[in-house]
Amino acid sequence: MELLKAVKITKYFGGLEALKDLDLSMESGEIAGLIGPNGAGKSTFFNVISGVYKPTSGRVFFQGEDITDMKTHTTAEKGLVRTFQATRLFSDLSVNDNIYVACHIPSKTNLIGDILGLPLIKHREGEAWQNAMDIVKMSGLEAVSQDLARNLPHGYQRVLGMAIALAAKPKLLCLDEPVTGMNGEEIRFMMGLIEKVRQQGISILLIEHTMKVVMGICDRITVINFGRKIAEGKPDEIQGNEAVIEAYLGRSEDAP
Amino acid sequence: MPNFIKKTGGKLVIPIVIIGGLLLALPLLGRAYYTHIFILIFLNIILAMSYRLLYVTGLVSFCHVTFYAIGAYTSTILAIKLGLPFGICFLAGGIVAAICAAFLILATSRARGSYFFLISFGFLGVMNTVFMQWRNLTGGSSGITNIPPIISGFDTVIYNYYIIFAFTILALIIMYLLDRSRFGAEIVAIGEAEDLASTIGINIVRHRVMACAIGALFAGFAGSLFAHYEGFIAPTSFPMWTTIYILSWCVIGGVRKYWGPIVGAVLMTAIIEYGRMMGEWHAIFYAAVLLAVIMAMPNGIVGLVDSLRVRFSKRLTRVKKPY
Repeated sequence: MELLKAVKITKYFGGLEALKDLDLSMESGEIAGLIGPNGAGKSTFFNVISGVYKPTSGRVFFQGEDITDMKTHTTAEKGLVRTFQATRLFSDLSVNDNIYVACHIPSKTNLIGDILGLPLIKHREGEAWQNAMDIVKMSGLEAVSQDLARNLPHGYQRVLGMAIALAAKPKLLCLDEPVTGMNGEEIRFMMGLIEKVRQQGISILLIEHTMKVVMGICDRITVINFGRKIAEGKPDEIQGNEAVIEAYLGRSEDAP
Repeated sequence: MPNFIKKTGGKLVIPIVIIGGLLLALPLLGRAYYTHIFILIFLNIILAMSYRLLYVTGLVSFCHVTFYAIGAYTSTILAIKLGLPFGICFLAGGIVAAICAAFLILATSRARGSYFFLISFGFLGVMNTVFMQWRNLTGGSSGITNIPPIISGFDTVIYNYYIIFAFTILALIIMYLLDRSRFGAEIVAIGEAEDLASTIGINIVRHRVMACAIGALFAGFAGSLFAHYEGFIAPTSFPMWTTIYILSWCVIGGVRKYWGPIVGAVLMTAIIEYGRMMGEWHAIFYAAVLLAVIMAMPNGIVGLVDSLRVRFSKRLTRVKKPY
């Protein structure tokens, strides 16, 4: 059974055609890439599958279940978690607090038990907190764990954005341009982190412009332009594809 | 509670005990006028703290005084028309206010910021009209008199002071536990970044319903205490100005920390009461304080304390790269 199956997704904003008949599917354990020029509709697609937008037509299936009409917090509970292109963090909270809040799903608390400090709730909270600490360590954020999110340098903020998504224990992690604005060293770190995430059994759908990253870690790539799919296949197939090169790869955005 | 002692290194225990002691002794030392003022301060503290719950989720409401009024009227009507004991009237006051709050949030769940503000203002207006026009139930603009006391036979200012003081302490403890809980952290997160909070599985509407309902519950309880203490309520007891004041206490005190609204409520209630001596100037003075806070300390007094702490902190951290 496919992990994610988006069937003929079409999205109009009034008269503007943002997505048209887009099919995309992913297997469990894959790292899939979604690329295309700016404005192609990649982030719109993320918004549709995570429940921010309702598609004009088409359905989205996650682990066989129809999630098209579900709200964002419900798709997150099902295991589909996305990050944001523009860095979204809980800016005035510390790194630790950011991750703590992000453990909402694994902690499974309810309000009364929370306040009264019931033993079962405390136990689950303890587990969630342990989970949070593991993520902080794995993301290399230990040194800045007490700092406010808004005071972090840009690269750390991007890593924190991903760590927040990881704390929600996703089955499918949708990363929206995770390495934007990062230098070569930071990009290498991020790629290593993504590989570690994959080893934990989490599947990844990746939007990215940096070809080094996309070609380097994706098993399969889907290319879209003007809201439509123009190519799909393994990295070497995509690199040689005429339509893709014409639409997109003509301009190299790589930094060596 | 041991948690907060740990956090502040036990420094706050002594000041709190001293303040607590002074507050306990106050009615026996001062004039009845001051005791009455402090009762109002306690009620205002509850109003400010309960307002904070919804405020931190990013929804600015203009109808918190309406929950206060609903609690007062519900409790009064049950006591006088049905002769129910105070305990039941008190609980009913809070619960009815909480139910109204839940309906308000559910009905406006699609409304963005400023629209919610206006809708809550509409709710305030509608309820005010209900209180004015439903004369059989609410006494209309003349209000209701001879409201039975909280504990019959113990109706002096001094007894009421201790009862309301005790309730305030209880309310503050409960709200402290709420603030320290996962729910408390999550409602702040919703105010920070709503879309991100959704993404990690937080049900925004549900949290806001809970926050507003709990806030209205305490406002309703406070309203009930107010009604049975004063012995008389009317629509003029709950003017629109009160809801503006409540908002200003949270702005001035700051909401980032638990104790912000307490400071705001105490400070500004004192200024209002002191300002009565100034006649017409007190409104200008109040506005001047509010403007000064907004311009110089956007995060309120809480923010000021935090930035002073940072400035005087000797700790310099070096950011170490993880790679």
